[in-house]
Amino acid sequence: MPLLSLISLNFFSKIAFNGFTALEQVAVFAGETRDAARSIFLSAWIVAPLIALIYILMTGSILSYTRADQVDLVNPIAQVIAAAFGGGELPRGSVDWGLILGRATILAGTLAFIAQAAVYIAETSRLPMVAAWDRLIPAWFTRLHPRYGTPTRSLIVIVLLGVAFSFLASFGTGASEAFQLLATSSFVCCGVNYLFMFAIPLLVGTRMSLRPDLRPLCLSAPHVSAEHRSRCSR
Amino acid sequence: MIFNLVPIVDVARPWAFALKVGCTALGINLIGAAIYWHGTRREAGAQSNAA
Repeated sequence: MPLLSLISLNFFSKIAFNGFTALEQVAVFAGETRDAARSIFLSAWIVAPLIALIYILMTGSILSYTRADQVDLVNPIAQVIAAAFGGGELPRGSVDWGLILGRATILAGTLAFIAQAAVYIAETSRLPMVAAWDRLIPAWFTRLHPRYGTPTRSLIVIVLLGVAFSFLASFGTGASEAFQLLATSSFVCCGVNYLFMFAIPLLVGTRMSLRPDLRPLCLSAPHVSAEHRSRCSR
Repeated sequence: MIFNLVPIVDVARPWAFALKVGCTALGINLIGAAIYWHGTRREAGAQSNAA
């Protein structure tokens, strides 16, 4: 069992947050998914045990090759691959397959990180567009690419903001601290969003429901059908 | 969220780290709230003018 400390609680909250969140991505990508309800439901059931297994195996692998206090928290995967595959003494002229395999794996991991970042940017770039649809920010953000239908202007703004925050975070700090600063700030901002999201049903209840039959005053609403009225009166 | 203010890596000044995280999160959310407040106020004004 890990020691109960602020750092271990911090780790626990990060792992739990990663494990139990990201449901909001359903809302972002559902419109672009065929049969979203079925596909996303199935994908969650398939992926959840796989993610748990990957977490357990990765943690085991890292701790097999690196002491817990020496784990590189910015990029532990590259660290464990380098430790596992590199550094052996070989006869002169023979091929170091371990080194080649290790470097190939690090390259594949880097590509996976880039793909992951692309998904995050794709998700985030939709948010200014939606805010502009709701007329909270200028309609300039709603312009779509004529061929691909992607929100290009939102994308540009999000990428520039990302670059600016990366520079700001690394100002006067090392790579490890800058990464931690960015990751932690995004965790906290995401946590605030989740607090607001969960506060809606708790504080507002069904008053703002998109389904008229769930609103408390639906009996008096003129646009509600007879079927809804009868459902309300039950 | 409070636990996140404690750095999990070695940093030169933990208090500065906590301050940076706290101020960033607070600042971004205040900017978001201001945009929302300004947008809804403008929309309400436009609707009342149209009526």
